[in-house]
Amino acid sequence: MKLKILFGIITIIFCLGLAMAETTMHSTVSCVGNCSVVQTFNNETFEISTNESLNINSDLVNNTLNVSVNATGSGELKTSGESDYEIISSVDDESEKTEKGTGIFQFVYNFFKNINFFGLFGVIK
Amino acid sequence: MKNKIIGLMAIVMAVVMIAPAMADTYISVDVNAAGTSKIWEQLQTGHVFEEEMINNVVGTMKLHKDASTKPSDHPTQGGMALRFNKNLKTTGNTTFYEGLKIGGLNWQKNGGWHVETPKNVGTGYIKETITNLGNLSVEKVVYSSGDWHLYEGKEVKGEGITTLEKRVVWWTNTKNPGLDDRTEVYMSLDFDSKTNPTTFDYVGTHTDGKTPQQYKFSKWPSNKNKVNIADFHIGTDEKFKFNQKVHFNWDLQ
Repeated sequence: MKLKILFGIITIIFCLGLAMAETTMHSTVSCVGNCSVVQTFNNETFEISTNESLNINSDLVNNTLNVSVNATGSGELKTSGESDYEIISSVDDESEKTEKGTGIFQFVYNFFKNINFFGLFGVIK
Repeated sequence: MKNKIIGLMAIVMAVVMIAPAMADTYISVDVNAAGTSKIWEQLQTGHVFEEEMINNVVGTMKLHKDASTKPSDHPTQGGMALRFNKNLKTTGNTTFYEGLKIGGLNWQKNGGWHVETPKNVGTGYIKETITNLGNLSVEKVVYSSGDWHLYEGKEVKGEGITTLEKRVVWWTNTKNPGLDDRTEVYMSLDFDSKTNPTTFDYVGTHTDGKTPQQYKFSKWPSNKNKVNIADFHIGTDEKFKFNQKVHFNWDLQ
């Protein structure tokens, strides 16, 4: 009895140890001037270009990649993949947005002034 | 019956925890910039931690970097195997810093890292800063199999005033120092320029508590507290090209 409980505890500790081997990542890209950034996470792709300024923060934790974007100027944002995307907040006074696709979610986002996205990716856990 | 339930619960929890941790992961980033650009990136998987900062002022930058991880063939030793490739080309004024570590590491989510007191592990790190005013090209491959091996290969070339500052550090701390555990380190640096042709080459094998071999390094090694350090300081104002390799290999019993 005690032996089996001990075995169970050891198994859990071992697995926790493996879980700690998970991949984590943080990246910050900032540009002033013409800039384009393409980021890929497994089968998800995110692409943005602008002619003025751009700041992207990405964090990979628990197999989820969260991306926040601040950009000014004129440019284009494209994403593609099979996951659900959620724009939590945006400031896009003069922007045009086009969403395409069913099943595989894709959209092209043309902006002419400012955009501010946070949590663009909600990748499948 | 109770025992079976406990056992089943342990198995279910194990599967739940292993699944996300052991998944294959691929990440890539491509940057094309003209003007002023900065990149700061940190990546950790298993026992390997990698960090880089690129600062380009009034120039152009083209960067491709991809990293892939998968479960190691030696899950009891390291957990995850890592490979990444980097290709960087810049013009203008560029500072390129990177740090690469393996072993007793402690990841701090709020940025930065520190090396924990190693316990029955090997620990090694490489820090490097390249400053260039002109054209700079960096191609690099890093591979860790997840079983206390780490390989870095790099080729750097370009034109313009350039300095290289590189430090390679490693040590081993084990249950039985001096008895069973061996550290093998291979380093080479071939620096080719008109003003400063230099070649370093080192292959060292030692057990804990013994002084490693010394050969041709500008500062090599301080065996203080079993920490081994190799420093490079090189500058040039001509066309230059250098290849460098570092390979840590701990044979931990």
